[in-house]
Amino acid sequence: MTQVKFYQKPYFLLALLLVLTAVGIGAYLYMKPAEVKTTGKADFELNYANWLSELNQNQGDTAANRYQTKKVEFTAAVAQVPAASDTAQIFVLSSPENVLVQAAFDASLKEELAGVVAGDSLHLLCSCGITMPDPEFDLLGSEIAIQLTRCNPLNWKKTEN
Amino acid sequence: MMKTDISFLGSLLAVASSLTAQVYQTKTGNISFVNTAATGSFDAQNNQVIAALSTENGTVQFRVPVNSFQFKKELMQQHFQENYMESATFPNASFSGKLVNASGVNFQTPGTYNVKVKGDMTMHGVTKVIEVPGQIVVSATGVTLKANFDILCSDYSINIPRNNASAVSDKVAISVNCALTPRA
Repeated sequence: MTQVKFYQKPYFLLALLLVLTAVGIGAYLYMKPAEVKTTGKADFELNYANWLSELNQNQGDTAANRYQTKKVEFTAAVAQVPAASDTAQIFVLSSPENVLVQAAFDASLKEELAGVVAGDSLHLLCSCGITMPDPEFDLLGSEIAIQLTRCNPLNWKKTEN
Repeated sequence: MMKTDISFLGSLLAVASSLTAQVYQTKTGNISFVNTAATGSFDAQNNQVIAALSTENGTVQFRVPVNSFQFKKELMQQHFQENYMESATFPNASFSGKLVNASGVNFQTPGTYNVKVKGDMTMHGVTKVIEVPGQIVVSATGVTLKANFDILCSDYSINIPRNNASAVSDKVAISVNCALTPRA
């Protein structure tokens, strides 16, 4: 009778397969590149004007905290297109004077966004950060800063001249 | 007569000072950091730093949206936001301080000036006084603030679990590069 070696036994092979799968999944998760644009379902689908108005009327941290790090989806017009850096393209979106809204895109989207000019309308899905004015930081101004990051341009409508 | 002359001279100096005093600012400043641990290093970039400098009194202020740090690896970004910095609770890091040797900087003359900045740095809800060396580069278009310094996560109650200690170091090397332009 032929003796079966331990590494030929089915349970060993199964265990080995499980270990290799676990290592593979672990390595994939560890090496997975960071998301450069927000994907998935938005936590908040917003009417842009109403959203800014809500934040303007409730300038406490409570209003801002509701949206911190959440996925927000909305449509807004581009107000300014500053020069892109090596690592990001940032657009300033139209807003009232006391509100700054920045939408930051990963540098890999520069080509896709190359034709965007002030006045164009963008439908965006972004990760949200909001800072309310702080009197201790008087030098930084008294505007509400909405800093959107990892923005995903879902749709883009050119301005009609 | 003498008293009138001195008073006139004083007024003239005040007017001259207010004319040259200026606030420079940016809303797209860059701050990056590198964390080097036993098993490797990782870095992140932030291009949405709001910063301002007053040449009148040497005040420097920064506000850094934590959520805007972009990493190369998804897992590290998630850990950084949710576990280490808890960015939903502490959405910003900030600094408010003054140039220690502001008189050594001539904002009217282009050049590179070595400076020290001292003030309160707040991160993860903890405020500490820090003093860091840096450079101010004065050019025709504005001023650039540059600094490289280290901080310890443990100083700001950022807990790195023991089982992650080989992948994440307590010491973080921070690099500041913010090009400021005159505020309109």
